[in-house]
Amino acid sequence: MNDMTQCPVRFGPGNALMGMVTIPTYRTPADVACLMLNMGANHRVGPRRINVKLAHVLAARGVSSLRFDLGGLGDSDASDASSDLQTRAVRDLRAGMDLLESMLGIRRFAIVGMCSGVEHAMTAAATDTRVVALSLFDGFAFPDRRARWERMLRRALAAPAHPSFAGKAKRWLQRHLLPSHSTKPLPGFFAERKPPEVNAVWFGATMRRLVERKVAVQLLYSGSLHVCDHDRDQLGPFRSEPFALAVQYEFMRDADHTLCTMRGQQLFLRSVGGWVAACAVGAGPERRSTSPSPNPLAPVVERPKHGAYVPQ
Amino acid sequence: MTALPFMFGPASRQIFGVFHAAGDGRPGSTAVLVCPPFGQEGLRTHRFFKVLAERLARSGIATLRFDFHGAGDSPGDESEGELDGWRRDLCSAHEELRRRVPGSRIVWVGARLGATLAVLAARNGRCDPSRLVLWEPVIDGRRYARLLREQHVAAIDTTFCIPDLVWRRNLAQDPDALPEEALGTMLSPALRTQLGALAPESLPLTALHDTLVLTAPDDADTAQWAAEQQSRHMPVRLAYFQHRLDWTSDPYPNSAMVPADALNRLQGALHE
Repeated sequence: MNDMTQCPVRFGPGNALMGMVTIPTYRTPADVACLMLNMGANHRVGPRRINVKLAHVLAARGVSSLRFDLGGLGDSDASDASSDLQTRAVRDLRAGMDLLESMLGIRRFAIVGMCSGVEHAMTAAATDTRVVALSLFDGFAFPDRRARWERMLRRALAAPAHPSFAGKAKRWLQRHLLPSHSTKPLPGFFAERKPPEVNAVWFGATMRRLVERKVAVQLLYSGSLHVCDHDRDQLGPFRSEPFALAVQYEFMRDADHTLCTMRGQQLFLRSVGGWVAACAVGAGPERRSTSPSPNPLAPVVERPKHGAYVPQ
Repeated sequence: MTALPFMFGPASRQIFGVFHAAGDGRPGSTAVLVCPPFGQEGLRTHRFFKVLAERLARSGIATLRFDFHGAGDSPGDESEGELDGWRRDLCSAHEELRRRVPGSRIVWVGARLGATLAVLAARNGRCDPSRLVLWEPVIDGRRYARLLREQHVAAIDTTFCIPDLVWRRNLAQDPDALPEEALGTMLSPALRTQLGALAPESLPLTALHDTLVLTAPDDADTAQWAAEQQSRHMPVRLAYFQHRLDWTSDPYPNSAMVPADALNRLQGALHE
């Protein structure tokens, strides 16, 4: 017997976005729902089915969710090529919140962002007060000189036994010495790089603002970024800031960036599933919209009106 | 043209599908059922098949894509994944497509393990595809599992800051062991057993439908399998096809997601 109901949806401008709403069947859904978006350009199949697994874990704990593909990725259609990726991603996330508000009457949300999704999730949270929790996996990291040296030393010691050392070294040299090499990120795509100082200023300012607004934040880092973590090493200069002390921080040595092992997936699901469920359930009773759509499981949903969007 | 996502199949085993209706709104003489590959290969080809389905729909060919039970967006757990259940899923998808486009001849386009499942499902008589297009079918389960395992170990090597060498050591010590997991996807005990038993001789084609096999020029084993089917007077044709899609790469640098030559080849295969 299924303990959840899953409903495919199309939503957003022009119904371009495609996703799946998962609702707990045998318990009252929490008043906070979870949104999950793509990691890079990947759809929710194979190893990237982690969002499907997380939706199942959350449903078992009473949390509804929407997992969906950003516009132009996976099953979603591209729309509005005139605005940049970040703007579109945030608009898509807000459309997801609008959808759940319309379908389920839920008005507070947690967003799970991974890799490139971290920046989208943070921006959406900064501009929409409906976001009350953020779980961010392998997003912004600012290891300081000591942490970088330690990583380099450990890698150097491990190099003789490292089967991919030669390939990694070759690719590093190609990237840094051959400007036209095809591993160079394309401008404007996911791998677009901003100067580290710009990222740091934006990250610090956004996190301070979110924590001041009492948005719960979980920062997770995988064993792909670093070998060990002594003192919130990925936060570097931010580690002693007041906001850093307010977030939940976890270094997951045994999980890699793409969660390509079952062990890594279990760690991720346990950590994120538990944290999001605790945020959702711990948020307490919350008012719901008085007039949710008559059939909350209508398979195709038109774009509803905006919710609590706060203009910049 | 907006693709329709929906659930279908028996209540106890719901399947997620995406239906691309024919562009002119009228069912054409042909419809296509896409049989997706397993795990990482499914991830690598997801976008490809979406674009192919959109192309086909624009040309008047309705197309249904779906995820097998316990895979992709379909309900179920990976630990329940095995060939017999997936074969029934394929027939459920066939029936669903038949219901949506009555009267059309249905072509199954399968890639890798999806193509293998197409062979298994088409010969049980419960569903009636008019044609199979098999893109590099898996005809040797043990060799396929070995490939997945090698790629998994390579991924461990490259994705961890410092890799766990136990994976590589285990591969060297027991290279023929069937893996419990590969590239982020679990292989259930039943699936491992079935892959262990999957061999060219366990995949006889039938005369109920035409079959086109697309494979790489250097794949002598698949060519041999196709030749054996021809020697049994089965209506099968082999065509060599080289493409730039790496089935298992993660991530994708220098590996096309939707190679145009493959799109054209698959689209053309429907009419040969």
